[in-house]
Amino acid sequence: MKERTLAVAGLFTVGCLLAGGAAQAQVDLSGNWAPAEGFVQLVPNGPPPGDFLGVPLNPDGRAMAATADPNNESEELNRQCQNWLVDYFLDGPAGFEIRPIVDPLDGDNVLAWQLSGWIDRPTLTIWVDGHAPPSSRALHTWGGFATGRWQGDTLAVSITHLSDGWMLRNGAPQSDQATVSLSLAREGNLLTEIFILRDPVYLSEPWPRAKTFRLTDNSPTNGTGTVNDCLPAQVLPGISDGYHAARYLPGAKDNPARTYMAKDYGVPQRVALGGAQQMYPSYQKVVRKLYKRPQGYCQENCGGPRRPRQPPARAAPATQQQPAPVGRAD
Amino acid sequence: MKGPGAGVAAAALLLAPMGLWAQQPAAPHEIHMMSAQAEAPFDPTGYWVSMITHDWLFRMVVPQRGQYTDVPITLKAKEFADTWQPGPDEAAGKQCEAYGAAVIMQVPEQLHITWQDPGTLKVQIDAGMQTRLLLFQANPALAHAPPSRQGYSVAQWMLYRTGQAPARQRAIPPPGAQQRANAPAAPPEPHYGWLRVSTTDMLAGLLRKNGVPYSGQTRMSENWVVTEADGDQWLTVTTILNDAEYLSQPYVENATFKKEPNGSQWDPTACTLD
Repeated sequence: MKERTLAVAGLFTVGCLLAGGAAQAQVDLSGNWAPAEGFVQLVPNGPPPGDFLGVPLNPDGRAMAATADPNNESEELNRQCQNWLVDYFLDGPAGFEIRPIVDPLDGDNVLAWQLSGWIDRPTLTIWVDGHAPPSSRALHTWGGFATGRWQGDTLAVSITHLSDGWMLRNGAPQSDQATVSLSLAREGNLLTEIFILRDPVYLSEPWPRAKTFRLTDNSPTNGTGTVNDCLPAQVLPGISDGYHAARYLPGAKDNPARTYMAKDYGVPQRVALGGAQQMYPSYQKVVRKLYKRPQGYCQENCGGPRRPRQPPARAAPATQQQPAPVGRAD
Repeated sequence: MKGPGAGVAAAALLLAPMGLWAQQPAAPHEIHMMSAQAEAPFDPTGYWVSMITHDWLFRMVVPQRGQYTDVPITLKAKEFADTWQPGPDEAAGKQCEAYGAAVIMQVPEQLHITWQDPGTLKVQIDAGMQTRLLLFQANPALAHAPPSRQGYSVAQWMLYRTGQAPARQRAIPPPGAQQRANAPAAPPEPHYGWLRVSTTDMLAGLLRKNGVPYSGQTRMSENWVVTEADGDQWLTVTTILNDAEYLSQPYVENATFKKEPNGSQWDPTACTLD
């Protein structure tokens, strides 16, 4: 039995060696990937209200962003159960899993790579089999239509047919004309996403971002499943009276985006609303004149380690033993 | 680390598979017959401008005292930053502490990359007027030099050989097979790849201008990748810092640069802490 086991192991090793040449044709992207970078979360649930710094929004994009109220998106019937767009594979706090889709008739042939994970984002299927693009009139979806081709060990992906939504969770708008150039570069146990978004409706320039993920044994879904099982019964109670929209009126004083960045971060609203020039180093000279560095020590959402808890001071020996409390203190 | 150990340490760091999370070793195809310039899988030379599209509040302006979001600092680093004041550093001419190798790719800047010689990439940076040398061959003179602001950087192309590519996508090999089976007898011409850079022997410095420190023991690994999309060229530098003194875990950051047609925007400026 032992000899047989060794023989099988030997054959397996030889097989692996023979397969090695082919293996270099593509990089194995499959696995669970967790963010390797820290997740910048200055406020719970995404960027602060009105923080569009470094986003190349055009005037239309700035106007839409300035009045957005994404917390009330379910007030619009057409936005109930709305998923995040594929941007969330880059910006979201959680990771994702990648699996190959293999030709059922030829198990060696990878047809596509599929990114999925968490319940509120779409599955991104990257076809690498020469899939013909759909008609320009085909349905636009949260995951869009993606094709990929290998450039060495980097998978270069083109994504079209996206539906409209938010490019940032605080309400930066994204149109259904947006396209994405995505590069997936695996270097050992690290995977770097280079994500370049173009949107002729709301952006005046391409918006490049990059993020690195690390291979992990943990599922990115953490047991919550990958299916968005949004049902009317879950959403309808959130609708107040049917007359609200996921948007503030221009100039509305109750819109937190009007003052939040100036008050908490010293950045005037007209700067915080973004613009292509903010992506470039030359803008530093402009913003230095407008920025008022918050005084004092950061008090909230500041990061950094917590001081280890001090052990409770030992009480002085009591002169008289107190009876132990009975029952709950509350 | 100082002096003679510098080259060995940087080389070891380079050969180590990025030094974190038990990363499986990549498959470097070492070619010694050609110069680094001749075997470059992409042309890194020219002017590149950094795109400040993330961490804007920490890169374009000086963040508030005590704002350490996103950096996995230790308690010791926090105590350092909490008491750090820019005044004495500026008076002592230490403004360039915020322009050291560990953070220089995050600074809003332009790069001017040239080949100093066929085995050395020179990266000039207009912000703070810094210069990095990426050495593809050991340089004993530099390896024995004392620690410096930009440290000692060893570079290696990680090349992909198109000659080994089959005509179609293939199934996924078992783990490790990719590493065990390469080195063909006659290596074909590479067309793709990226640049791996490992840096040691840095002077201590600042990761942020509000006092977040890194120590002189910091080791840095970088992956430089160039991609093209719709006519634009993009350089993405993934930086991984390991600093046992001030970082509780590897600190990973990305910086994205766009290729410029020329140096018309080149704007050398002195180091500053504001």
